[in-house]
Amino acid sequence: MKIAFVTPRYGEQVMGGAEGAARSLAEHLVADLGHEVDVFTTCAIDHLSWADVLDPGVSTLNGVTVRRYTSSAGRDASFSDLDARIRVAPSSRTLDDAAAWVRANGPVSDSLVEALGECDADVVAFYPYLFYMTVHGITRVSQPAVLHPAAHDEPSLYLPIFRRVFDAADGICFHTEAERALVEPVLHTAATNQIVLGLGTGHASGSGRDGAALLGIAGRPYVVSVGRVDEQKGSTMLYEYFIEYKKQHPGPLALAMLGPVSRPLRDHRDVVVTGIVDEADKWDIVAGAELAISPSAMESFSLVVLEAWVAKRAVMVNAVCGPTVEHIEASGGGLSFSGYLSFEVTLERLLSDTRLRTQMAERGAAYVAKRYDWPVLIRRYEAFLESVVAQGRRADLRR
Amino acid sequence: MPSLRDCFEGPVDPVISQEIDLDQVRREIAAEVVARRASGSVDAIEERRLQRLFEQYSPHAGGIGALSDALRSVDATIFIDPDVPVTSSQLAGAAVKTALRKANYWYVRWITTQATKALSNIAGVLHQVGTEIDRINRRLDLVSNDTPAVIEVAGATTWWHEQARMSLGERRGRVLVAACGDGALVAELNAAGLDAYGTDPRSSLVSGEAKGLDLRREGLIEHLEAVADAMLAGVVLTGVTEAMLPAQRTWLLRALDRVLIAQGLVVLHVLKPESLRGDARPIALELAGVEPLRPSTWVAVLAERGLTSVVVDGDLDTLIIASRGQ
Repeated sequence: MKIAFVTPRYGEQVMGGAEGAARSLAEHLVADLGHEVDVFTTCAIDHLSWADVLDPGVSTLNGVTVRRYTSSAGRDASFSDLDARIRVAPSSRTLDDAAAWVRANGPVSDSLVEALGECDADVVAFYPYLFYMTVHGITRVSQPAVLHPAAHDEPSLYLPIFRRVFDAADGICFHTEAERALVEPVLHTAATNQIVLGLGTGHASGSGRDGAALLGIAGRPYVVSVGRVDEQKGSTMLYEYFIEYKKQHPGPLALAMLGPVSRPLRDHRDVVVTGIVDEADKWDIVAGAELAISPSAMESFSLVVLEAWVAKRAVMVNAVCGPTVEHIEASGGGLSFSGYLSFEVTLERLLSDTRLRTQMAERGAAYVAKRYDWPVLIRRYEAFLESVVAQGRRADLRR
Repeated sequence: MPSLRDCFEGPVDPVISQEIDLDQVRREIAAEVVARRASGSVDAIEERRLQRLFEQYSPHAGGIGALSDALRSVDATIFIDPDVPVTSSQLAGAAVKTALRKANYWYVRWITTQATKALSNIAGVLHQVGTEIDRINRRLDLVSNDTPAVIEVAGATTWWHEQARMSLGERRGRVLVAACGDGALVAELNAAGLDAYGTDPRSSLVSGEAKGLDLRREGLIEHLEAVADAMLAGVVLTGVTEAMLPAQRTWLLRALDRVLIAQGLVVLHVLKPESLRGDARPIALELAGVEPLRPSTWVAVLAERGLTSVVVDGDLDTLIIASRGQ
């Protein structure tokens, strides 16, 4: 089978997120199952500007053929105003408003969309739903189309333009049941062939070094949060909560925040913000933490929660984030918080109860092994793609 | 309702569940949060500020979110902070702003206090409306039955599967099998070249993925609510209409009008009322307190909606194949 992925950015420089998930699937389809995979993407790396920084053309990355196209526009200056406007009653916006929002969000690459018309893959997978190439490409391809929405409860999900995008999908691949439950009533996707897949996790690839020493806080206990340091991802909230916690609980405990920094935080003696770290450092730092915290309310899957369990660490998650709450409820591998006081009490309880933390970590690890081990997961994905290919491009009938 | 964990993994490992009583841990944490709030361990204004940080990027539910979510958003914006920010990128800007804030503080505080009070009153009214709606919903729950039980009787066979498959022919488009059980009919239809999938609300439903089937653990009504217009080439209903309330039957017929393509087919497999009497009457039907329609009534009801029916009689059950304009 030949599979094409369409995603706004792609490469080793892109950490996590939907685009990282697309790369994981693409590479496992090639390496584990011997399929041929093409990726249609832009020359951008930065998700805020979408500026072309890589060369256009064809290259190969870990067995995957990567086709890069330039963009005629990145994130438009009008985007934040438009975005603020659509936040009020997005479902009642006009199609023109929604199309303008998609264009302003960027990256706009008509050459990529044109190229999809010539694509010779058996099935085309779009990842995620939100971008120009998905909105315009999914109606362009003649092959069966699979949509990986990677949706969370954000105003844009309710824009009317996305109804057409989801309608044009022959198959939908959700990260979690929570994502499916969110999308179905909004976009009326229940009759579309679908699967709740998630993502595979790697094995802990640390080298047994002292995480605290790597962070420059040797000898101090710490909790860790992995992911983009960004206000929308709850990083500012976590920072403020942790500082308040330390006021109430003076001591050596520190917070380590690992990941690219979109929103710089004030320096604080108890908070270490590392920026991007390599995989080995990440695993060693997570493995050395007392526990991991996912403060984000906006996740469609959250690989970092699963990776914390692979590293045998209990987790705390945001109580209004459906997917991460789904993970902890299904596994018993963590607890959620819904405001400062519950953050404080939950953290205090977990830090003071080693037995509870250990058992949660074990339950989380068992959950990951059972559901998100790559060999099992990639075969489930392959079977799903085959079923979509077998049924053909049904969406054409509806347009 | 089954727990989320049951949906994914089956029953919790009893050994592990003995070790951790997560519900107990959660209860203890919730009680401690209440106690600390009551004791004022964190200043109320500071807690409010921290809560706003939590709510700022909470899920939005822009179109159809729960009222409670919307009220939570309202609550998050009620408090108007009289402490105007004084940071500045200009030299001495912060000092100037601080001085201005200090000079005007009595006035700004008076204004913001009035505004906060007014907004609080409005929010209070909205909460009362929400409470009233909750009360009405609870009343409605007493007379509704969101997911009607799937009704089966002992001795019923699958004689009608072949008839259903033949009537669906070589239709292109998806075919829904409601109350699909372990997916046997879905598999038969797929083997015949159709694109069938199934739903079933029963927890005993075997996952279809291992067999390459698209089976969902959902009730018929909740499923059809999330199906777009003209998406289905056929709908097979078996065991799902017997325990429906009259309003649900009406809703179902309207939903079928909406989700079926013009050439769509309804394959309705119903148990005869006489096979559901006496000791044979299923408990779920008894509890639902409804009387199933006779096949001839179904034919009449379908005819009212412009559907022509062909009836195939079995011993205990009847197959009604209905389509438009034939």
